[in-house]
Amino acid sequence: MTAQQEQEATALMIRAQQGDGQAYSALLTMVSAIARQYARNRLGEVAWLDDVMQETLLTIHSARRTFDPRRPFAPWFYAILSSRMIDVLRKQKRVGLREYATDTLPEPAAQPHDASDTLDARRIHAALDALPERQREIVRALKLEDQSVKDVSERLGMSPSAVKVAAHRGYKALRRLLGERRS
Amino acid sequence: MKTEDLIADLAAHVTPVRPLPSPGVRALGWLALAGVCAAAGVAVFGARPDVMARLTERDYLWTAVLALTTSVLAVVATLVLSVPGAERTPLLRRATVVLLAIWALTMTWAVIETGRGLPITTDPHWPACFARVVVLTIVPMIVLFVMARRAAPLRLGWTGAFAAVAAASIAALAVQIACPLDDAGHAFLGHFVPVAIIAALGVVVRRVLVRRDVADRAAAT
Repeated sequence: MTAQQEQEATALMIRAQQGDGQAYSALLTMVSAIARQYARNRLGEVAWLDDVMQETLLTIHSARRTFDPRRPFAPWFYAILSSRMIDVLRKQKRVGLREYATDTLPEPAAQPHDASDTLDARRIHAALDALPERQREIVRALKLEDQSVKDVSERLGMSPSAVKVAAHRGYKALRRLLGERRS
Repeated sequence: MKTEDLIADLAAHVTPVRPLPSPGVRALGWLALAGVCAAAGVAVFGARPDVMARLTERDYLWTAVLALTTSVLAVVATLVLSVPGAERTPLLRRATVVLLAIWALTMTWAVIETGRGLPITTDPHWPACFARVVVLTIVPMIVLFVMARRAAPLRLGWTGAFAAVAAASIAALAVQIACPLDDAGHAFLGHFVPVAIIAALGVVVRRVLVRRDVADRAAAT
């Protein structure tokens, strides 16, 4: 962060603390670009750079009252960014150790073009039907109906974390079922 | 959710906030409240009759000073840690840990010097002092956790531990003033061990330092 950027960020943050949405939007846009560059330099071009940025933005939002306008912006901002970067890194390691990535799942064919596509879709739906009811509902909502975790959690009265855990269990079971049927 | 959408969402819901006072000012506020709680505890339990005379004795005074300074350093460390970037060096954190270690060593050495070991089964009074420390810790600890939570602690384990140590140390000081027993083993079990256990508890419950709305929002993105 250059001295000029820091000065600008401080001015925007002071206005954001007074409830100025435009200044806040400008500040978050500016710091998200800086955060992306900083994280990319340290972590490389990883798929979860957006997670680091979003976690950082959420923390800035919740911590904005702790920013003291008499103190420099950079130490405050980089403390948050570094902390969130480490958190996301740890989370990714944990996920890598115990969960399957969702993008390894075969996508169901919404509009099959040939017989083999139809067969795949049938297999997936048959496997889905074999899942426990709650898992089936969550996987359907997230993967087939493209609903967000937040929406599903609100609809089912579960926490977002519980929805994610149930979804991952469902994906795991689906992989196993599809593997069995294929073999 | 895309980052641009998140920015738009946060900017649309931004509300005016008043910057928090500095950690030093907040620490003074908490110390005033914790002092009142400790004084109330002493008033309820009753100060030992010879407390003024005992305060002129080196060992007694040394233990009291250790408890008080540990509490003061721990509360400042808690509130500094709860402001991102406010901790310029880890000196304060280290000083608090060193002070706590000196306190532990002092208490342990006093027990070793007696040559009798810990009176776990022979002293029927230490559980009462233990319970008193726990009771006197509750309100200051909850208040300090709330104060830290209102800010934005990034190192949850350290913050939780220091908040617990700050509250338990001042409670231990109050119990020391009230307790008429001078046995080193009693002081160790009844006055110091609860501080160590409560400190560990502070680490265990560190997640309560994360505001629920923030955690839910992060999980939903």
